Amino acid sequence: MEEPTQLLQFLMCLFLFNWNSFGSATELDDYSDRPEFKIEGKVFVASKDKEWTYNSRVVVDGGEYLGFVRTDGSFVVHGVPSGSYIVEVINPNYLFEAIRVDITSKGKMRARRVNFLQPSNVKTVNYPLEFRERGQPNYFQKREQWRLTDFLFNPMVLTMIVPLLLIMVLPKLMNAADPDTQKEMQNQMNALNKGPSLPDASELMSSWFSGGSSKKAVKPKASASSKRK
Amino acid sequence: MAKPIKAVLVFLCMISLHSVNTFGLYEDQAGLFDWKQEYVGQVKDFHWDQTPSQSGKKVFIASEKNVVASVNVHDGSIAWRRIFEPSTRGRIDALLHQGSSLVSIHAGGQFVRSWSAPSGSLLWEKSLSDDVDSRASGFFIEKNKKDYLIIATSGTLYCLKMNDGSEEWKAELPHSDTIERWYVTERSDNSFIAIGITPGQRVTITSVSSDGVVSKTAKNVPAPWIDIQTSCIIMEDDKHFVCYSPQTHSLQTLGLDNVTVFKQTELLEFPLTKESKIEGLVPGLGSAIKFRSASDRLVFMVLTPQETFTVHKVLEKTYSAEIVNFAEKYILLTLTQADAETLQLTARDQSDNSEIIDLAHSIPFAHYHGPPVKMFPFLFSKKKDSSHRPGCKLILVAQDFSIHFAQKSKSDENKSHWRREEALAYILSVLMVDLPVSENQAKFEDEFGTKEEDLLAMFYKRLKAQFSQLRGFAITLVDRALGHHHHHTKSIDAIEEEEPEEEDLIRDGFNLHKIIVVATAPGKIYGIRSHTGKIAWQQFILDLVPFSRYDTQKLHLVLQRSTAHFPHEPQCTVLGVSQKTGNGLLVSFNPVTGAILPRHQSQGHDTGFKVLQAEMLVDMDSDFLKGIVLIDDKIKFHVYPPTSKSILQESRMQHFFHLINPDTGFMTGYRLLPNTDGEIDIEELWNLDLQKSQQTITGVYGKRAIEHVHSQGRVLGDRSVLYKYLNPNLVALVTEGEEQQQSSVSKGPTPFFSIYLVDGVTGHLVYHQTHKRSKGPVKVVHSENWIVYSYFNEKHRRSEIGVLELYEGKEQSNSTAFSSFYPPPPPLVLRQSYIFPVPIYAMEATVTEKGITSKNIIIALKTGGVLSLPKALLDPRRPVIPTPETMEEGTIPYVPEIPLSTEALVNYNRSVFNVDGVFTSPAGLESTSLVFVYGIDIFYTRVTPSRMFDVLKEDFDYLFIGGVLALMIILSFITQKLAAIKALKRAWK
Repeated sequence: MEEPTQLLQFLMCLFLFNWNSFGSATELDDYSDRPEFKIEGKVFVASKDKEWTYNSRVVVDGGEYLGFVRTDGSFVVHGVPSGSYIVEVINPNYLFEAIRVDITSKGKMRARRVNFLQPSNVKTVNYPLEFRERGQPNYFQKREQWRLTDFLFNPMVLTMIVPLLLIMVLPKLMNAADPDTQKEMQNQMNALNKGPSLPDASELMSSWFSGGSSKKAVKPKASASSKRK
Repeated sequence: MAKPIKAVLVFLCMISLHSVNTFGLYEDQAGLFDWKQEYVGQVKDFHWDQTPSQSGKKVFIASEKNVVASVNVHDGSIAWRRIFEPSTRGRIDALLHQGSSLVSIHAGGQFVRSWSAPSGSLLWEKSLSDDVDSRASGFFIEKNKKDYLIIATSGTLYCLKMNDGSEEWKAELPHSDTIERWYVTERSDNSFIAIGITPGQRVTITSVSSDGVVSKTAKNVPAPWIDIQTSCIIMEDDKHFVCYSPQTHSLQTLGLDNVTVFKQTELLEFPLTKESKIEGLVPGLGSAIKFRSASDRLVFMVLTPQETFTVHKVLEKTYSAEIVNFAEKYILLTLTQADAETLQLTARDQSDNSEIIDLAHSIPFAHYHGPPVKMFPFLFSKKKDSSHRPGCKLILVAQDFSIHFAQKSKSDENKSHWRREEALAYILSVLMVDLPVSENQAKFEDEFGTKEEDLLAMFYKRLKAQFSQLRGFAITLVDRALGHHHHHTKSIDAIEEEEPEEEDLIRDGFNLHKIIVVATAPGKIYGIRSHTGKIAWQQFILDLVPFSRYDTQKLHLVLQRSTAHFPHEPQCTVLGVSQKTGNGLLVSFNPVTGAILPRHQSQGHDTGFKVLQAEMLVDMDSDFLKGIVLIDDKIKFHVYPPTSKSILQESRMQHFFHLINPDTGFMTGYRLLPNTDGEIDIEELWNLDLQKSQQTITGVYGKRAIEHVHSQGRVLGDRSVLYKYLNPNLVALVTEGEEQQQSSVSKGPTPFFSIYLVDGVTGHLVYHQTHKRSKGPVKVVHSENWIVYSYFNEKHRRSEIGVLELYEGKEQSNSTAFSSFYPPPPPLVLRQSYIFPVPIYAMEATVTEKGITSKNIIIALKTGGVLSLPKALLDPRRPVIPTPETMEEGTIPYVPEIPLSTEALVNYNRSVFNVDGVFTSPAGLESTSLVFVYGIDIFYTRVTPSRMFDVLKEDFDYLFIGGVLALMIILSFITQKLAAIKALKRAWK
């Protein structure tokens, strides 16, 4: 039972050893007595309800260091060594702007706006940090709703309505004008109606059931079986 | 003139960018396709809520996963939960609870936090020490009617006021540089005695007065056997300190007043195991301890005046025992096994050894939880009864990390019963398995099964299948007519609250419902229904532990046979390490039912060698089973199951594999060579030295085997085709290292990382890229012809995402099959990197049935969101200056920062933290990809990267369309009639 754990330990030692050989000695010394500082601030949310403080986290560099918001909105992140960090307040129901905090090796703090494009561009903000609610996130898309105005002002509908108006209104206007044109129109209409128009419903039914009844009777059954697939 | 055109172009591109970004959920879809479960982790510290009005309604749990949580006792749901850093900073050394105070001590006293017990909000926080490797401890005291908190860090003893955390006094303890842990207790005269442990050397004893003055004399006692994990305890009389030393199989006793050596008590009366430890004090027996000898044996031992221990009582076949002081009586509660699926709780009055019947309780407890490890009873007197009979709420922690609650209820229905499967916070590998088709459909498929049958037999089969379908339809009709729903009689064993409904485990029309098979670090395997998140089955393999190297744990989970081969059952296999032997351990099971193969029952199959590498074969044997090739630590070759070996010998394909050794930095390629006498040899082919002295290999990423690439190339703006470099053997390697700075203003070494693209068959280095002044952790997604990786840019101090795309060029060298031996000319590598504003836990690309749908990258953000990011935004062909040609191609102009929209967060406000990985799987619908995110929370959803193009939207308005259609038909008939009348009238004129 001992063997695998020993092997593991050995491997770990090997790894640690190699790790140490990477880092220079100065850095190791640095680490042991590197001073640690704290980041302080306050979160402001318009809501009177204190519920939001329970699920808010103050996240430094994506969770490397964490802070928790007290019921009055203030927070402290302890034990942060000198460096440059991005401090964010995370709450699923509110949005906040992230702030970059620089801590010098002597513990001087500077807070500034996050600018990923030009990191050297400094626009300082107040320290202790102040996070103000910047609205609530919208996670969902709006569903399209059917409205009459949308329908009427749809270009497709408009293009259909205009010719319709032309067809309906123009003949009426021309009606009174000239009996000749009226006659001409009538001829045209007759010509249009002469051809085989839509079959009558009763005719349609009778033709269906007389001619192809044997063929059609199979059809519903086949569709029923395919439905159950 | 050129300017306005450009502006228009940019505007159009912005519109296209916008359209790319709008893949959101609708509000009414929330919770329809997705679910989230929250977990706590393995219980480390446990307290019943003692707040006067809330007593026994909640429990407080501190876990191995650095979580403090409050769990409601009535249903096991989490009331509140606080997650700390996964690093040592978040480690919980102690969780203290008394009255209404709740205090957690972290990382050797670096943080002391006081929580409001009902809501979990932070009351105050203190930072006391920065020695994170030591262990801090603490306890409550009362002085002048005020509560104080005593905390011992490695160097100092603090006394804090409980109400605001302000310091009352502090005392510097001696030998703070070597001591890693202090045991402190308050004596009857309100002074404190502190015992400090220097691992491997000695213990130091000192005393501190009640107002924080350390006595000058610190006594050192040599104890070379002691370390930080040794189980020790200060006896009830505050005069003795006892430790269990596993090396000498004995208890070591130290008198704190005047003795200068440890006195040894050999433990010979009972066997000792690796579980042996001191579990605690025994109240009511004078100076006695409770000692665990094995997982099912406990021993009470009493301290004699000679400072040795004698056995008072041995509790055989007892998993856990507690002595509780209730109503001025000492009650001994013991937990024993009644039968295979039941535990028995027995209560005895210690004064007269009589059994208290009211508390006796048999608890259903399934075998797949392993033995119970600890129990936490809570005794109360029933107020409703005038007789004030005692009642007991019991919480059990089992070896598989599960938390069980049991309370005896009047009607003996065991209704007040729940459990939390905390092993699900330790998921290491995931598979999604198709559910089997229904019996009818299987018969249908059987029709086309065999080729050698003649026409008549096939016709007969078809008739038979259709008849059975007809019968099934008739039966459902009859059922519906009678209003007879399948009433499942309540399953007899009350443990199975999931109520296995057989008909439920059948594939749905679009194959969207799957079984999610997960393998977890404690050796538990679960099958989870993807559409509800409920556990379909579970198995606990006691011996199974993950491969663990460099702080990463791995379990190999493969699907050897899918559900497509109907008469044969599907088969999944987990490969891990046997806890007993350290050899490889294989467990094969049916992923749908969870049944373990008969010969693997409960223990799995010990391979008998240490496994270095395992890979599943592509070819199936005669039983449609894909074999697993195992390479042992002596580079010898094994196949599981052994019958698959013939496949290797017969197959004309050559098999290659490669091993990567992070200790030496070598990547070595091998070939399997079937030789004449039926055996298979291994031949070493090539070696790649990745310069261990400068960098370490941190990750190897191949392509997913199930992935299909639909399109061989990309159509450019000028209608020519840019062919993709689709090498299935391409492997991406990531190495990280540090380089010394050349310049004089040295700020120490700067980190860098490299990406190598290597052909896994020939060892040919296809591409290599180094990012200077950038560091990991590097997360990589490798799919189709591209690689996406995230890293941290130290120079600009921001997270970035890089993308590499490989193209063969305008001509394809071989359109039918890719061969690593006759590779196309070196690929064209396009690359770009983008600023990604949020750090990343993990990422994975979506995968669909046929690969037609465009890809999204699912990214688990450290802000808790799960982002579905279109790959089109991570396209290295995004032009800096858009031209009509790039517009034609449809690429989005280059913007250095990837825009994150909250609409693209597929988990909306259900944040997931400490994510370990993301798993994606295709569904039966081409448009849909299933996503499973695991970590301390598990989250499942489905995404449609190109929208639902193959099904009607679920908000499709059938009524409206149907109504319009009907109206049209009716109108046409009416107008026809009207026209006929009009024509008639005109004819009469």
